[in-house]
Amino acid sequence: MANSGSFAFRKGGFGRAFRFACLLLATASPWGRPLLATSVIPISDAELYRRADVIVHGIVLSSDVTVDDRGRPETLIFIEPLAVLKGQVSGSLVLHQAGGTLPDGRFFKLWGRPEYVPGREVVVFAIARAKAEYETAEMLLGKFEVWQDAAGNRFAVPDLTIGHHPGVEVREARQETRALDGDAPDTPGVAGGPAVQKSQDNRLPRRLTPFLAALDAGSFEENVDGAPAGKFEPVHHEQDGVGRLIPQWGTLGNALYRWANNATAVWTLSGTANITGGGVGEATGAVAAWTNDPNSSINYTAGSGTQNIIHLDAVTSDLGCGWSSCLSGGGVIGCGGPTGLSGGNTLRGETYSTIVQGTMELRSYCTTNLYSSVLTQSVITHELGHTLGLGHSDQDVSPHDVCRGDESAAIMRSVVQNYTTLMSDDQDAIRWLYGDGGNSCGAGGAPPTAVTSAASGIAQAAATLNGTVNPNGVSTMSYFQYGTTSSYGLATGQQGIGSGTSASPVTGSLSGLACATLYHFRGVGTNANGTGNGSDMTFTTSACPLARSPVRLYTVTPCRLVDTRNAVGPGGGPALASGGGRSFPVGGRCGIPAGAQAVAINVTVVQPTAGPGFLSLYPGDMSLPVASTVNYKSGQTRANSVILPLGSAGDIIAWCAQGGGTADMVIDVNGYFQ
Amino acid sequence: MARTRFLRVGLGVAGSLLLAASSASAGGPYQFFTVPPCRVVDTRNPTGPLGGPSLAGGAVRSFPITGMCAIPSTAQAVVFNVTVVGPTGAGHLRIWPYNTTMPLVSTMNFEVGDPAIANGAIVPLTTAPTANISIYLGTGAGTNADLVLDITGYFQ
Repeated sequence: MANSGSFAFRKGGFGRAFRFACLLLATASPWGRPLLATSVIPISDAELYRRADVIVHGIVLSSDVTVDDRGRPETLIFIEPLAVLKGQVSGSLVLHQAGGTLPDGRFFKLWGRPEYVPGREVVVFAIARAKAEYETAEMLLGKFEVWQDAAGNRFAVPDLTIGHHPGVEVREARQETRALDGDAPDTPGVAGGPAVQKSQDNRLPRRLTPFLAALDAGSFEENVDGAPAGKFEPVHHEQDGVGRLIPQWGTLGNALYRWANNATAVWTLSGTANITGGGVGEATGAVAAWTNDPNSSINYTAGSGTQNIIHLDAVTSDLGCGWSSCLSGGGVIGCGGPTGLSGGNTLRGETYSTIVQGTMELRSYCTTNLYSSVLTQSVITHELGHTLGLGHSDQDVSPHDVCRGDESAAIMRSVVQNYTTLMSDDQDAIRWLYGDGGNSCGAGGAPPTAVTSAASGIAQAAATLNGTVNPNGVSTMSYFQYGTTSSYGLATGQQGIGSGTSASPVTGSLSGLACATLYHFRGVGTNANGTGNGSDMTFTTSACPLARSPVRLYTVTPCRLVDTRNAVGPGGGPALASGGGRSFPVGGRCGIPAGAQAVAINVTVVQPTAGPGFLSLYPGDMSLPVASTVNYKSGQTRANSVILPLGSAGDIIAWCAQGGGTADMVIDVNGYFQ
Repeated sequence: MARTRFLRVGLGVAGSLLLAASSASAGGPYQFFTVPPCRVVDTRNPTGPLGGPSLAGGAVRSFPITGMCAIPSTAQAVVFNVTVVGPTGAGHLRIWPYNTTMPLVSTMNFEVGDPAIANGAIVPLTTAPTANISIYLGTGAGTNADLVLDITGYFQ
């Protein structure tokens, strides 16, 4: 092939590529979802092995787009084998992958196509085509990249786990991989990452050594799934002076460059970011300028200059930063990073270079022609952040990580946020990097504000706790503490309430409580800035249930238990007053034993002075239930027969509700239950 | 024609009710369990299995009872206080076990304009998952009344 000479890395671009972080456009695409998608069903390593004609562990030398014999864009990938694990390969493995974007802008998009980054170490399952050519088996499923975690363990990472795959639908229930650029991917296996599952058909990284051994032997009995810990990054290779490929450890995003001691936490875009047109001509006039002044702002202007050029046409730029598939609804639309470094500062155990110059670039055909000026400004601000040495807030590689949980409050998030000014997490990172060495986690922000309000739904064993918690701008968890003393001792499950700045209502459902018991409770909110407690409040659970053992009926000679028309006494006057309850002893009278559980009675209301109204009779342990016994109109004498449980003291309460006045009441008893 | 027989629940209670059940469901003896007074049905509430709409004259409506107010699914009868609220027609109310023949008994009688009138009743239950009792409002077509059922105990 004519391209067989491109073994050497592209001049200039490769060596610096890993220093640049990029901004992805993911869900913000104005085109919405892709019209078409490739369905992917992950298959096992053994099945991949069976389908592949050759399996190569090697290093990507180049990836260039050309045209195939039918005039369609095709990407040619040259891979230098380190080991051939299956089949025979003579010299480089040359992959022909349909699709790609030609320098003149023509493109052929193929969802689910594997993307090869020069310098990356890969494990490729390939299928033979005609003319000793190969293509990746099963689209992106046949490609793995070699990554290293913080402990130095190497893993083969499935392509599905790496980067952003627009138009790829994985036909199994899995957690979505976050949309990421190709240089600072998600971190599988660490806290917050996908759950570890022991199977070899998913997105888990494989431990490299046993994985290669299994491929070499064609035997897949050993589980090679692994869980990387800490920083997890791809292996890059560079050629040394005599052409040998030397592994390099990528520092993109992980490079926390320290620029200009005591710079402030603010950068601005004072110039216009509303770029129209595009292309190299305008790019040469664009400048991002800043100074070493302790209070420097960064100004973007469209004026002319010779430093810190903002490239507006990434196609002709030599800054490599992943791929540029913005036209598909996702992909890199800008890159930025430091180009001039000198000296070093040590902070928090890490060494940072001092940045004296920065460079950024935008994919002009994405940002200037197709997106709004607000988005363009957002992207510029984001990339300028990279030139200051900031990584992405959500990728465990930036001073943003000083405080966790507020990654979305950052223009430095790896996907477009449409912010044009620094958000709280950016400010945290800048303060940490350039400020006084501190950060907002302890001093800069306020802890949540919690307010406790009255409990509701109080029952014998359950209650609902209520309150509000204001996150005060930092991702906050809320819960309730409760217990039988103001020391609490118990807590409800934590629930996330986001990072807003207004009070959010929170509730906690309690169950399994003791009946007739006083409980203390308070609302609590906690975030990186501390914990806020609401005030203490109390509630008392409902009365304990009455005895639930079965009882039997005993008859008594009908007996007048209560007549409030009589002289004042336990079973006599005064008459019931509206709006209140009166207790009457039952056990021990009319032949009813003290241990009786319930009585069969006839209740008569006699000439109430107001109405309509009702009497509600209930056991002495209870508070007024939503249940009535006799209803009546003013002046009416009416009776009803009821079976009424007694309180633990053998008493009942009669409640009169008739809007005023009084009512006399007569209770006759015919039997009891015990 | 199926012969209906009346089950007399032997309480020496003035005004106690005659309870009807088909002969097939007569059973016992059962034991009494008390529960704290509890409102299980109130048709003045929003529409629902235990709430609105109001009972319609000449129509039957059925209600689930077990599982509410601490009444177990094994309960065979419950002790109700039955209240009719604001009937727009004079008539009577019948309550009987769900899915059995409607008996020729009345649980209570009332006049137009009674704001509310109540009576105690011990009612056998049908242990069906969807409903346990049925209620017939014996008033003229186009009239209606609200119904409130309070519970103070059950038999099983």
